Order: sequence, then C-alpha cells, then structure tokens
Amino acid sequence: MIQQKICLLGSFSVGKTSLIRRYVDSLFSEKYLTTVGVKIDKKYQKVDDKEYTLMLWDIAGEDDFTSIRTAYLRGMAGYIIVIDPTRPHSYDTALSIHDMVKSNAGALPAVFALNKADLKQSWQLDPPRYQHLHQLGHPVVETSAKQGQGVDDMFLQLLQQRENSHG
Amino acid sequence: MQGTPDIAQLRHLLFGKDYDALLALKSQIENTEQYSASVASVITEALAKRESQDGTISTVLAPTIEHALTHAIKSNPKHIADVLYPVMGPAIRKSIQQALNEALAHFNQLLEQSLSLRSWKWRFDAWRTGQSYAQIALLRTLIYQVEQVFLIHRETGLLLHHIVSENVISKDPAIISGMFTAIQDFIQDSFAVEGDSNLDTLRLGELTVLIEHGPQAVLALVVRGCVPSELRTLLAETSETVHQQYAPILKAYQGQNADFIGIDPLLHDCLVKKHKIKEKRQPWLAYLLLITIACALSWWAYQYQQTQAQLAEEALQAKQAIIEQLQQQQTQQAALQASLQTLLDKQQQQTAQQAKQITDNANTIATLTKQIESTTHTFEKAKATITPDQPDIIALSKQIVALLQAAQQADNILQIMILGNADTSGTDDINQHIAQQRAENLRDALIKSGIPAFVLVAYGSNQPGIPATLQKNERSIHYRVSLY
Repeated sequence: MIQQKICLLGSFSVGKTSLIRRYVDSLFSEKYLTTVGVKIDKKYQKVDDKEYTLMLWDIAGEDDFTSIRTAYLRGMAGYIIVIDPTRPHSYDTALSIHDMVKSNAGALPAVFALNKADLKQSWQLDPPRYQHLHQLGHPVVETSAKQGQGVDDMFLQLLQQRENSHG
Repeated sequence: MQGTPDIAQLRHLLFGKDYDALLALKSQIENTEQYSASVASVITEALAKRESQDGTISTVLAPTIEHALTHAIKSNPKHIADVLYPVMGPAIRKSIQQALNEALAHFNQLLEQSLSLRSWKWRFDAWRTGQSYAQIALLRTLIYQVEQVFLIHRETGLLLHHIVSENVISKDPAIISGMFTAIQDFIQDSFAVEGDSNLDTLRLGELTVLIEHGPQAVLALVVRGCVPSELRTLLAETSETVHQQYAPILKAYQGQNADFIGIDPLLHDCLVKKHKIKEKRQPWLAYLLLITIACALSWWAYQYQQTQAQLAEEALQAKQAIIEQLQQQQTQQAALQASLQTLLDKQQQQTAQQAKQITDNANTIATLTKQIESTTHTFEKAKATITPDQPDIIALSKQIVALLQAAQQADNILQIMILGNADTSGTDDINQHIAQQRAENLRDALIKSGIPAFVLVAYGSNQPGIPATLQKNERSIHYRVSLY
C-alpha cells in the first residue's frame, strides 16, 4: 500500500468536487472548501499490482480575486487540473495554475480533465487551445461527473506517469 | 609519503623521532589486525562513555540486537529455550499471580460499580445527560488520557502511523491527518508573522491536541482532560527518538507506510493515562464479599452440625423412651403373668375345691342314699294311713331335701321310688291294693312336707316289673333312690 498526496485544482465551479464525490471516502463537508480552502478525501486505486491510497486535496477554485494557497500544494505526488470547456475562461485559469504549480513545486505528474463531457455540444474550446493543451505533455481526459465517466481513467493516467518516472 | 631516500632523509632531519611515530601509527591504521586490536582495547569504554552521555547507544543498538536475536532464535531455537528456561518458570508464575490479582481487582471494580453510591450518582448523571455510563465514569475518574497518536509526514501531510487507545473511537485517521496538516497550513498562512512559528496546541472542550514539529515528521497527541507538562516533554522526546531511528526512511519517504510498522511500541509509550483514584487500593469490597461468603458457609456448617446433633439427641431420647416403654411393658407383662399365675392357682384351687365338693357331694349322696334306702316305715295291720307330722317322715323328708340339693349340685336328676309292701294275710288283691295305697299315702305325706312331686314315684311292690328283691312280706314301705 502506497500513500500519495494528489491535488485537485481548477477554476471555480468547474465541478472538481462533484467529479470525485461518488468515488471517494469522505469525512468533511464541502463548507471546508469555502472556509479553509481545502477538503480532503481518500480514494483507493489499484494500478497493475500496486495498491495506492490517494489522499485527494480538493483545493478551492481560483478566480481573478482569490488565489490558491500554495502551502496546500507542498509534498504532492501529482495533480489534476479540471477544466470546464463550456466556460473558456476556466481554460485560461487552468494554464495559469499549471504554470504556478510548475514554478512552485517543479515538474510533477499531472492530468488535465475536461469535465462536463455530457454537455459536449456546448463546449467552447477552439481547436488551437485544445491542441495547445495536448502539447503540454500531460494526459487530457474527458470526464463527466453526471455520467461518472473518465474518473478512474483520470487517476490511472496520473499514477502511470508516476510509475513511468520511477520505473 | 616515503618518496625518494633523499626526501626521507630530509623528513627525518625535519621531524626527528616524531616521524617514526607517525609512520608506526599509519601502519597500525592500515593493518586491519592491528587496527581492530587497538579499537578492541577501547571499544567497551567508548560505548559506556557515549551511553552515559546521551543514551543513544541503546537506541542505535536496539534494532541490531533485535535482528541478532531473531536470527539466533530462527537458527537454533533449542539453545535459546535452554537459556531462557530458568527465567521462564518464575516469569510464568509472576504472570499468573498478576492475572489473579487483576481478576480480583476487576471483580472488585465491578462490585464497586454496582454497589457504591458514587456509581449510582454516575448512573443518574448518565441517564440525565443521555451519555453512556462508561463515558461518564471515564470523565469523572480521568485526569487525562492520551487517546490517539498521529505520526504525520510533514511535507505531504500523509499519515505515517496512527495508534488509538482502547475504548476510543477514531474517525478515518488518514483523512484527519491530511486535514490537520491543511488547517495548520491555513493558520500559519493566515496568522503567522514569523516564518518559523508552528501551531503547537489545539484545544476543543476537554480535548487538547499537542503537536510537535520535527524536521521530517509531525507527532500529534490527542489528549482528553488536563494536560500535564510532562506530556509535552514526553512528546518532544518521542519525536526526537523517531527522527533518530527513522531519519533515512523519513527523508526518502515515497508513501511506503510498511516501513513504519516497527514504530508501534515507541508510539504506544505515548498512550498514557492517569486516573483520580489510585489503582493500587486493596480490593476491600471483594475481600468483604469473600469473607461474607466464608461466614455464611461456616454459619451454615455450624447450623448443620447443630441440627445433626439435635437429631442425634432426639434419636437417643426416642431410643431411651422406647427402652423405657419396653421395660415398662416387660414389667407389665411380668405383672400380668404373675396375676395370671394367681388366677391359675385360684382356678386350680377352685377346681380342687370343686372336685372336693363333687366328692363330698357324691359322699353325701351315697350316705343319704344309704340312709334313705335303709329307712323303713311300718304300718298297722290292714291300715294305710300316714300323718305327715310323724317324726320318721319329718326326718325322711329332711334327708330327701338334702339329697335333692346334693343331686342338683352334681347336675343329676333324683328319683325316689316308694315301694309299698303288705303281708301275706288276706287276699292278693287286697294286699296289692293296700300296698299301693300305703306307697301313695307316703308320697302324699312327703309332698305335703315340701318335697317336689316329680322326685317321688309310688308303687305297690307286688306289681309285675318290680324286682323280687324289693318285694317284702311285711307291712312296710321301702325306698329306692335313682340318679339320672
């Protein structure tokens, strides 16, 4: 059993919390997100023969007025940045978060999650942006909190990056 | 260092004898045998000195000794068993003794809980506040108790190890550990002015969280009750020991918690608690109950013995009573036998008397019969008259009365035949008639004098059927007595 700290990042109301809610063991209510700015959940994940306990730090979303407390990022093994493609602004925020994390914590395994895949017709992500995202060198996973799509895949992709870097 | 001979000479000139000493020292270090010999001469003293200085030797050696012991036990368990044999017996005895003492103490505690006034008060409090009795009892008796120990990786906030004391319910410690770290970061971010200050105490009602920040790990104790100052010291010491023993593992930590399994005993030392009531009290209540049981048993035994004794006495008395009764009966029987004997004697006497009477009676009868049969009554010629008051008639009637009495006593019926005779002068008819007349007249005279008529029959003697011996040629009467 290996324990890992994973951070969940993204703009406000991109659906981070909704995305993982059904897949984790929870102890605290969501009010912590708005008060302390973070809520911690636990998820078991098996990759190949290895068992992982992921401590998920669901960190309050960033917007123009609030910024992520960088102290919460300390010691994480990887991160997931959630984007809501129906709101293009969340894409810009995601990129700025990604830059901020890289400068703070260095190069770490990361996954971009394009959430709300059930509303794909409303996506407003133009091809150049989409392409740019793929060129960043991290997996891009389409997810849907509503349909429970891509959540496990998202975690698997993240852990596989770790495996590859260690292996 | 040797260089050319010239340089060596130059060195000799410069350093003199010190150079030789230096060379000797060098060769000593390079030669493994010599070096180990020189270290061997001081190693014990060195170890003792270091141990007395900071006590780190035992901490450092502990894992090695553990490994060595494990290896020794695995490779040759019999030898270890032989070595341990002398200490096993006493240890087991001590353990049994302790278990018994604990059982007694536990029993006493149970009694106290169910009997003491204080426990009833606590029960009332529990009922009033809706808490469980155990919680109330714990709160009332506890000064403090360390309920949980968290060892948290400082960098990641991941839980390295967690232990919890008995009867304490803990929520998911991994999540708590993360949130705990997050809150610390939050507080530090929000309030700290100096860069290096850390959150070291949290307080919530009766709960206090003591936090010790080490370089790689954070140790946190969750304490219920009043926190004594020595707990803080214990926490700091434990944190130091953890860092000493696990420094390389902590530095290289990549999420492998299995590396920290061996830390359990070390953290368990932090699970201290202190009660208000000293545990070392004599278990009086248990003693009291045991004594009561003993008393009750002896009282019962005494009662039983008493009852048995009483029963035995009663049996003896009954036996005596029976014996007495028996004796009485025997006496009565003897008396009865005596009276029976008397009666028998009397009966014999009576029988004898009766026999005598009968004999007498028979004699009387015989005498009287003889007297009567020998009596005759003579008449004048051709006369048959008799007067009852003639003396011989009176005498005869008296004799007949006496004979009748005697015959009645002998249960015989008496019949007296009166035979009338006549002399041969005159005719036979006249004679016969006169003889008959004479007999009948006498009978009448006797009846008149009081003799019952059924005793007397009168016949003329010359009648046919009368024996010839009774026929006399005289003017007389004769008598024949018959008894039936």
